[in-house]
Amino acid sequence: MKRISKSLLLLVCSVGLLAACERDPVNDLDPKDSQVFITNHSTTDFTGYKTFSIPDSVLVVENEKSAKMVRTQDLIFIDRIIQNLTARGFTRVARTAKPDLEVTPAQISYTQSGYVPTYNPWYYDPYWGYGYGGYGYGYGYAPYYSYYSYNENYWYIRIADVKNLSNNQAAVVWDAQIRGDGIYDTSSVGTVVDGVFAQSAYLKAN
Amino acid sequence: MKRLLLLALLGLAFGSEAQQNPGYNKKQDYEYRSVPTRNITSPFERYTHYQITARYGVASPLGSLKDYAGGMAKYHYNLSGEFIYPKNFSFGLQFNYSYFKDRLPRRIYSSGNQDISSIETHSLGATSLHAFGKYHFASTNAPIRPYAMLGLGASGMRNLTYYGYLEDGKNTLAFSGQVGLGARFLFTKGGNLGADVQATYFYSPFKSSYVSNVANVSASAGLFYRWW
Repeated sequence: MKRISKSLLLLVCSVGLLAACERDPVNDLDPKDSQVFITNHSTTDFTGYKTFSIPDSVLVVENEKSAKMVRTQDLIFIDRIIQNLTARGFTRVARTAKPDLEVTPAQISYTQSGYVPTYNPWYYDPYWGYGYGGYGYGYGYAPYYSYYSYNENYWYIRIADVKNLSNNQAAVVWDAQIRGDGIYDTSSVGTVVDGVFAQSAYLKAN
Repeated sequence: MKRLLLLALLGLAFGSEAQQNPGYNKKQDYEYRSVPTRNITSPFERYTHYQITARYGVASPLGSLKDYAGGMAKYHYNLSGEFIYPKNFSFGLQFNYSYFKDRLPRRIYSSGNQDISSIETHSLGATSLHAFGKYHFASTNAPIRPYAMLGLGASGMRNLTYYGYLEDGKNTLAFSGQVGLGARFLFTKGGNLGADVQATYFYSPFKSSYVSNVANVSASAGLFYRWW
C-alpha cells in the first residue's frame, strides 16, 4: 500500500508539472507583429467625396470619460491621417467650409473588471431542491467567484459622411482600429496609420 | 601399518558410499543453510513490480492539424507509471503533453465589409491522461524488451488562435486514445534503470472552428526506473 501511494504521489506531482508547462503561443511575438489593423467600410463609392475636415486634437476616451489631447503621438497621428487622405486625392478644409467627410481621430481605452460565479458541481441550491421537503440533503458550499479584468487600448479613426445627412445624422462610411503593442510609440504611429490605409485601396477621391 | 591400512579402507568405503549417493553432500548443505540461495530467480521475474518512465520526443501532426499548425513547434513529452506483471502484461497511467504551433506571415483577411490585417498564430496543446495496457514480447529481465501499447482516456485541448494578441480559443476536454510500439533497454543485467523508446499514433475526435479530429504520430525516447 505504501508503494502504491508513492506511485500515486509521483503521478499527482507530474500532473502539476505538466499543467505548469502549458505554453503561451504568443510570448515570442515581436511587438510590431502583434499589431492588428481592422477596417470597416460601407459600400458607398468614395469618389463622390472630395473634401474632409479633421480636428487638431485626438479624442481620448477612457471608459466613460473623454478628453481632447495634443500629445506628440496625437499630432503625428493626425498629421499622418491628413497625409494619407491627401495622397488619395482628398482636400482638407475647415469644419466651417462644409466638408464632404468628417474624420474623427481617437484613442480608446476600456477596462472592465468584475466577479463572475464559477460553477461548483457540488453545490446544492436550497431553492432548486430535490423535493425531499425537510431533509437538509447536502447544502454544500456556495459557488465561488473568479475575478476578471481585461483592458482594451487602441487607436480609432472614424470617417463620417457629412455631405448626405439624413435626419441631421451622419453615416459612418469607414472606420479603423489599430491594436497591439507599441502603437503609441512616436516612432511607430506613422507606420500603423499607413497600415490601415494600405488595406483600404477603395478609399480614394478619384 | 595395520592401522593405516584400516583407515585407508575406511576412506575408500566412505568414498564409494558418497559416490553412490551424489546428492548426499548437497542435501547436508541445503539443510544446514535452511534458505535456498542458489538458482534463485530475480524478483522482477517473480513479483509484480513498478516502473516510472519519462520520455521526450517529436510529434508530427496529421490531417487538419497538419494544415492548421504543422510548422513551428511540434513536440511532446510524457510521464507514465505502471504495474508490471511477471509475465507479459503491464497496466498504468500516462500523462502526455503534445504541443503544435505555427505562425502565418502578415496578411489581410476580408469578410464582407471588414478587413483585418494581422499576424496569425495557431496553437494546439493537448494534455492527456490515459489508462494504458502493454503487451511485452520478452521476459521482464530481457536486455531488450519490445512491447505494444494501447491507451484510452481524455485530453484537455487548448486550441488557441491569435490575431496579433487578440485571442480566439477553445479550451475543452475531449476523448482521446493512442496506440504505440516501443522497446525498453536495460542498462545493467537485471538492473533498475534503462532507456525506453516509443512510436505512437494519437487520435482525438476533438473539433473546433479550426481543426477537426486531432491526429499525430510521435517518436520519443527517455529513461525508466523500476523497483519492487
